[in-house]
Amino acid sequence: MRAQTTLDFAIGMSVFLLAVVFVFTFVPGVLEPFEAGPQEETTVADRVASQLVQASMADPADPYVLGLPCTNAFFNVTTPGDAECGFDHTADLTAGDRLTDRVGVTDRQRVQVTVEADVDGDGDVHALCFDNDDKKIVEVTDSECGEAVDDDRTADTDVLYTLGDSPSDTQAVVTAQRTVDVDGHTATVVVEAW
Amino acid sequence: MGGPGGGRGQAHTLEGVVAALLLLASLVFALQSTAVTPLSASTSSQHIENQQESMADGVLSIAAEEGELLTAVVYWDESTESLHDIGGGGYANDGDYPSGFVLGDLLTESFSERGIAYNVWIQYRTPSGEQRERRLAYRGVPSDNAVTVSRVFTVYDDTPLAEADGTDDSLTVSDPGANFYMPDSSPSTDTYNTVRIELTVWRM
Repeated sequence: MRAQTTLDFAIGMSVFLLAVVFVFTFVPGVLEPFEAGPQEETTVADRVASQLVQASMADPADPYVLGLPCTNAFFNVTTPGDAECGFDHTADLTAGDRLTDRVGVTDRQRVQVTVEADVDGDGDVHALCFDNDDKKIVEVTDSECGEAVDDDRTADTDVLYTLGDSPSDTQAVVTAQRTVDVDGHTATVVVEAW
Repeated sequence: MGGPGGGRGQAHTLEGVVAALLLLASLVFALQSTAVTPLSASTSSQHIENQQESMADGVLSIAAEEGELLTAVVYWDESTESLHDIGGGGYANDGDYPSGFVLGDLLTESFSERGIAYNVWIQYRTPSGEQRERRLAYRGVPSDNAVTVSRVFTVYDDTPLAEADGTDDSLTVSDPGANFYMPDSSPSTDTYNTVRIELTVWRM
């Protein structure tokens, strides 16, 4: 009878291990504390968004109302000069610096900042654009926004209100949103971090 | 069975099955004791609440900056004794906001188009110090995950009522002919009432 012991052990162990595997796959979140989740990105997106709408693009005494000089300076890739705005304006995005330097987060963190709204009233929300010829806010689909779409973002051209890489398709991307007023239009500042 | 060591041929299999049953039983017990729904509290729903709170704060800040919060509070039709263009207690449907009610447009743009519902209440005091509430916009009972932001400001005796198009009326809030819903909480001073406007938002 002892001859069955090996077979017996094999069957017993496999039934038990199958049950263990089943339990761990079936209970979501058992291993969550030990997995890499978007916890860091959640905080980064929220804080970057708050900082942008309360200090960088707006006067801290007047949060959520974006000032055009600082907003344009922020979205300009070259150093925006002497503008007194609440971000690191020595960061030159054409000279190797990145958006992360401008908002003050670590280089490994990837972020995209967009200001979007439905300005022309067609029911579609698009990224906004500062039309330097008429000094007004238009949508990126507007023909007035031509220079910005061509990515000619040097001084005294149209400014496209999007900065940073396009968000990842494969990783968890955390979005933070703020309602703001930009030049009389109600817009949304969207910060995506991944 | 029988013989030396008889009856022990299946011991490990039986142990394995019993251990597996024990594990499955604890799993069933754990799943039965909690209900995980899409609205259960988690770090991600906390994040969404934080975003909604910040957006609501932005809406009130913008409205306050443009003076539209005060306009919304004094948006009063003295002849019908109600808010402009409405019979009942508060605005209920999107798109029905009169032209002068800019706060309503702000709310529609910021929340309705994203599937977020909102209530706006006005709180004020009576001369005896009791607190009263009045609906400004009402979409129903908020969910457990609703967030609220508020602003406090003062209405003075000489604050004019707002016309339907948002311009100043010739009547002030303290005029007897205004039939204003809010009483003068401090009749002996120029202060009329201290108003708290409360915006509650939640995901539908």
